[in-house]
Amino acid sequence: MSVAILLTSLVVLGGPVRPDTTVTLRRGDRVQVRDLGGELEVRAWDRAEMEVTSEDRSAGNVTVSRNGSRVLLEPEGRKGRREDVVMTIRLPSWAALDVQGRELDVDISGTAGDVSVRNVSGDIRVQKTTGDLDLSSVEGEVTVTDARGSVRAHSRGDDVTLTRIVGDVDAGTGDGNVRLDGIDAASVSGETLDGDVYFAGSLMAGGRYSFSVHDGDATLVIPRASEAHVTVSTFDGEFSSDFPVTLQHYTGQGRFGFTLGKGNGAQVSVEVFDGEIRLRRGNGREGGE
Amino acid sequence: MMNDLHSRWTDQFSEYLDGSLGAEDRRAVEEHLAGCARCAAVLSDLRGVVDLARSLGDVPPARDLWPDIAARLWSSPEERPTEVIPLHTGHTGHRPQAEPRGVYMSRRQLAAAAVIVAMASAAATWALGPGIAVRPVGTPLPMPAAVSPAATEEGPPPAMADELAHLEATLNAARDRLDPTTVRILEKNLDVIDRAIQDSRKALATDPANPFLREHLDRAYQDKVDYLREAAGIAEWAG
Repeated sequence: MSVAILLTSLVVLGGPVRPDTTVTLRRGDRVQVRDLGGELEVRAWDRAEMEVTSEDRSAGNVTVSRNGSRVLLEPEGRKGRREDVVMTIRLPSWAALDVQGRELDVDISGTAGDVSVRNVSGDIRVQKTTGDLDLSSVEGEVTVTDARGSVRAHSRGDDVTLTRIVGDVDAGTGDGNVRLDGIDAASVSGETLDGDVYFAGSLMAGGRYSFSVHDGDATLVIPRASEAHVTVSTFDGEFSSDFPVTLQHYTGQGRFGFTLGKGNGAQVSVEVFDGEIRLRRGNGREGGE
Repeated sequence: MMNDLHSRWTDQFSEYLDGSLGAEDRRAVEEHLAGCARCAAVLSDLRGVVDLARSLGDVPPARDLWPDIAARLWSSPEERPTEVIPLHTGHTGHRPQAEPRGVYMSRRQLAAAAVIVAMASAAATWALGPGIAVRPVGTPLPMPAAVSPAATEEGPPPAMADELAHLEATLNAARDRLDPTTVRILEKNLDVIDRAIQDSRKALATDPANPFLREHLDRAYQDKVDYLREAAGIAEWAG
């Protein structure tokens, strides 16, 4: 049974959170989750309440407190101690969410507020959101599907995959692939040191699109009617294009620029230290080619 | 220089020789050639260049020849190449039905394109090979970006050096507070960045005047700074 708890400023909610604990939230509230490991699922619903549940009662070692508009979930007891949980949080869609985890798999769906997740390890999966997203995991996959709003998604040791995004994108990893599929954005950045970058999407007039790979390939799939000025740089790489290419400048050191169409549209920069650069015709949507 | 009347035709010669021109455009070109000795002569020259280019083997140079070539070409402003423009399937804007051909260029082809750009006079359209044409237009070819004194040094850019040292010290000091798994993860991913820095340093040592390599190395160092900041932040809340 759910227990509704009204909160006042700086209130600790009567010790550990029991399964099915429900907390009233107000617009402007930011829910902060700290120092959890394990698995965290976040789902939006149409009630102005936050519900915390766990099938294995692991949430019983988590406390909830409020300080102004901040509602904090953290392990009971000593600050900084990690607590492993298998927990589900239901939030009003408008609530902002801020998660800081250790070894925590995070799965978020349906939220409309801003979301921030920082993880040492563990995967981050986000879908069907409309707020701005700021996601990073040092070692874990970051996957976002069907999002509206800006997306910053970074991993250091795994893949970053964004699919059907309407909003600016900043995606990067150190050791893994960056796949940006079905992107509709005026500003896109994709970067990896060891892996491939794939982009399929449209190029907006005045938009800026930059892709950087140290060791791997960069593939861009863009509509055949794209208008863009493209700069390509490579040290030990190769370039191929489905498009007719008219060079505008060439520095003699693996860097050249050309226009697509009349060149009145986007600015595109592709840098590959060692690997292939491919420019392919597509439809600007998911799947590209 | 060919005037606009003739350039309408000469602009199509690269595709004409490639066989990629649409049937209607091809017929129109041939009809014009039958009555225009000037364009016929240009086409003949172009065909010779194409045949020569195609006869060349794909032999890699023993080293990157471009720095020396550039130095000779650009020893004075007057000698600076006046254009631009390899690659290109010769689009003229009045044959939308023709499916444009793709382009593929290896690094060696890019270097060859630059040489032909330098050779190009203002009189003709040159072709490097299938789908790749070089045409003088009159816009100055950009000079390579000035190489900063730091380009030949192995260390990080001065602006980053202090912060890098500080962050590394911070992280080392926090090492004992972090659990072994976190330390392993942080170090593993730091290794990836350090390998990229090493690769870039080695490349820059072989081609110290290459602005792309300098920028790439700087980017790798910036990536390291960003990562160490992130790691220091993690050490603060996870330590």
